[in-house]
Amino acid sequence: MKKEPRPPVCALGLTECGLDCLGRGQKARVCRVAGPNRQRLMELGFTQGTEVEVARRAAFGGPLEVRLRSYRLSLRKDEAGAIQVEAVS
Amino acid sequence: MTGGAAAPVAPDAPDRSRRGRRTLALVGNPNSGKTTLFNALTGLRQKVGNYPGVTVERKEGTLSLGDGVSFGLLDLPGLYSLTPASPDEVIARDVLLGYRRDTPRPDAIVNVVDASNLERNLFLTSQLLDLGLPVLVVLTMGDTAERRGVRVDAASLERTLGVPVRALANGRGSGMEAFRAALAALPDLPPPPSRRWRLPEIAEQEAEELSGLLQRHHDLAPAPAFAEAVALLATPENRSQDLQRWAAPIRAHVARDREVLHGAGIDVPMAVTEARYADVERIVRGAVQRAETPPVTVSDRLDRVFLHRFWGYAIFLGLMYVIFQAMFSWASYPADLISAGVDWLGGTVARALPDGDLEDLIVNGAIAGVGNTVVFLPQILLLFLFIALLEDTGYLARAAFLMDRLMSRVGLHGKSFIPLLSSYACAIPGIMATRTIESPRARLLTILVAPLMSCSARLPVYALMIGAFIPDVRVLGVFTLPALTLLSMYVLGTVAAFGMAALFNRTLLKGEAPTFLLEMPPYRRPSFRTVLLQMGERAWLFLRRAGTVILSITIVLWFLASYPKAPGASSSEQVRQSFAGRLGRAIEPVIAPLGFDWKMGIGLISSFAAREVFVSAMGTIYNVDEDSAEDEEKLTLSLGEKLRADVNPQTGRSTFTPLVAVALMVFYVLAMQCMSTVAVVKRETNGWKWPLFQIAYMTALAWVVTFIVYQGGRALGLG
Repeated sequence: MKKEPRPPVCALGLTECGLDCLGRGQKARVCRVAGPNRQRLMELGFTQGTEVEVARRAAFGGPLEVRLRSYRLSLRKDEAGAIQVEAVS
Repeated sequence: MTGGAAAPVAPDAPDRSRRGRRTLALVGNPNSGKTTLFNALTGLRQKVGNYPGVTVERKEGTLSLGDGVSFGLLDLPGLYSLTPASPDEVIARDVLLGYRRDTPRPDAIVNVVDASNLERNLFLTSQLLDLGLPVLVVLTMGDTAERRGVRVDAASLERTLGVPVRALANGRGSGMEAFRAALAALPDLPPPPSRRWRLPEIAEQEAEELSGLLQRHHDLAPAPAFAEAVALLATPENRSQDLQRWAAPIRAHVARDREVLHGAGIDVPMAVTEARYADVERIVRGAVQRAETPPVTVSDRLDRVFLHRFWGYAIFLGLMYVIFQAMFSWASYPADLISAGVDWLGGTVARALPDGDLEDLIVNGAIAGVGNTVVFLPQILLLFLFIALLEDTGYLARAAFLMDRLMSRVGLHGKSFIPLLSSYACAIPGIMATRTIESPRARLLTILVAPLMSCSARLPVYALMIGAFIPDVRVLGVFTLPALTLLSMYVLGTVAAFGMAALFNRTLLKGEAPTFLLEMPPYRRPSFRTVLLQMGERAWLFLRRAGTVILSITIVLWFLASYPKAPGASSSEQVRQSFAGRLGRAIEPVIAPLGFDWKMGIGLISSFAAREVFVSAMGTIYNVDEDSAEDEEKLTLSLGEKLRADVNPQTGRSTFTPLVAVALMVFYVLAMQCMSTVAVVKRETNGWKWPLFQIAYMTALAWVVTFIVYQGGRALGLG
């Protein structure tokens, strides 16, 4: 039952926003996931405290490419918006 | 009682192994190298089909390990998780838990794990270890991992997971011997050791109770029962249909548990996922060495170009042009050869058989009908060559990334682009290619609109109508009217496809959540074997399934056009007297507002076998001597003259005018007149519902638009 110590995440609610608010190359940590794909997103690795980085954004407001857990996933802006993150300076 | 389900489990149903040969299930994430491994292990001894009732592909092969040891190898669909969210996952889970009647529960699991993407792959492993079956982990893509500065210690993984772990380089070569030996021993191994992750205490207790109920009421073994209990607690309430298979006390228990857990502030799906990932992170920390600074890989460099905001699109369009060109022109050489071969065969058989109905049925019914279908084979092979290459190299995901914005506006998917593009050549390979689209909703939408893209079988109709009725004059100095007319038919089809997609997206398919969630795999060298096997599979599926339906329908059409016999009548009179001719006259009131007469009605009806049949049907009706016009060009020319000369006996005016010709082309753009497409849609959507809907909506659309064009044209004085 012992839990791994984790850095405190999203406790202050300072710089929280949806993942789609990040610019190219910005890093953040996952706070929580909502929306219709919640379960799938968590299973793909968006669990609390996971570090994510926006690697690229497609032209014309297209999908975002995100790096997490040493792989790359692309998601639409509204899918990314369902993932609340806390920017990492 | 705590920990009961986690204790080692006696192998369930020991008689299973004696009943026929034993089966291993191959399970892994998409892009983990699973297909390559499956092909390497089974070679050509594969059986490909569908699971009954769904469009999930079922692949099984034979695994010969020497010394007379031979197992069945079942290739389950690529999965991220066993949570049943997509049809693929429902099937995989049900097979692994032994719920499906058509597939006995496998005796062991071979879990393919991508070493370069260890955490997410081991998440699935963590679920598989809970099922109570022996598990063998195969590490693939070790070379990709090393290039990223990641070293995975297989021995350490083996110790922490408690199941054998074997590393393979590229699914072949080194490590294969040790892997095959491990495979031979696998079904006799004990199931994996007890579960390493824990739920919050209350949830743990509820899951145990539920597991006990499942064992009592449904005779499940402890491990699958606990896995099912966790899944039931984690199932969202809006998926309550998943509960229906369980006994009433279980349903009641789940409902009560939800309240208890909700009251305790426990979010089960989140708790389970986080507990598994926390465990996986611990395992990975012990087994992986990472370089201080991850090196920039070739994939990263390639993506700077292929996903560039300008060059990315330029390269993509260039590639699409090559595919389009290949399907449009390269495919015509083998297609012409096949046509010539079919004609030769028909001629030879005709000479060998005595004249009569049997000869007519075999030559004009069976051989011509199957010939009309087989002609599409080169296009199908070429398209699947390209798709297999794009998919195997990893480019397909990039193409989807680039195109998704455009396609998502009407509810389609980035991966809808290639199927729609290839539908310009032929909707059949286009519809078959929608299997690359993971989102069921976007896939159905793509299938529904693909036949609106103007395919090459419509070209002979356009050629006949434009050649005979559209004057060759210049427009704005550079364009010619015939070329502009042809172009506008392609534009019309494309606009209609996107418009109908937008409409269905807002009405018919409303409410289903659209998903994209696309993994970007590293670029890889394609496997020659995988590409060839994929082409072969698609070709065989097409020939076998579509072929049987088309053959029977062509025979029906032949019958309608040949009976009842009118002895001594000319061939045009014979057609008029036939059932098809009567049908043409019967539908005349319906098509008259579109400017069509009964002769065109016959053309429309016979086009249902294949659109280009319109030209030969018109040739028969207008009594063009086919011997004097043995090649198509001459037939088109002389037929065009006859069409221009045809006068309606009642009104004394021409039957065909340029406006009628345009109306007819518009009808051909929009109407579903293709047997082979109907057969393929039925197969790909697993039932008659969607193909029938498609016939209905496309016919209605064609009628309405043609009506507007013809009547509007007349009102403007163009008739």
